Amino acid sequence: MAEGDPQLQRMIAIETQKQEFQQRIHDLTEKCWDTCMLGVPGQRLDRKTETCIGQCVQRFIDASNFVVNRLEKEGQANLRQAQDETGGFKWQ
Amino acid sequence: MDFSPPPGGDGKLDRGQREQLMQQVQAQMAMANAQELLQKLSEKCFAKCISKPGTSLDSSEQKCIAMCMDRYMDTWNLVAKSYTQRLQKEKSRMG
Repeated sequence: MAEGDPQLQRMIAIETQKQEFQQRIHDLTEKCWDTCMLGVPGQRLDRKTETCIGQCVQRFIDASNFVVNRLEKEGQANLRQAQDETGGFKWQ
Repeated sequence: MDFSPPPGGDGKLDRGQREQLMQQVQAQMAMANAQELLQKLSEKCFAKCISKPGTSLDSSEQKCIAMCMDRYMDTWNLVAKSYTQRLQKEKSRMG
């Protein structure tokens, strides 16, 4: 139904993006809660826990970026090696 | 709900239909988010507060769950803030 309606398509793309953002926050909250919230929850988040949560988010993003970058580099190196060895393209 | 295109039209929704459809989509997403949060709150706060399930949910367990829910929400907001800041930083770095 949306195919012929670019305006509707755009609106749905925006909503999808919003939803993906929300889902990422849900996932990160769970990870960082499990990592940082030690013991029984108190009257407020203490400084240590707050710091831990902030760093948890930042390091998770760093780790994801690292994984992507490393795989990219490795993939390129493998490809080059395969090309050198066989004189042509070969995957693996 | 009738989202079929108006008769004789070019197959596009009119303005009112489009708005109605988007409201439906937004309401469904809000519902999905609320459900997700509810599920996480129950799961995490049960784990934190009920180590030995008794014959009823006693008042100290209730207090613990209430506290845990508020702290989980605090955490959610903190994560959203931290994540948003990082997104903006990466965007300005690339742009």
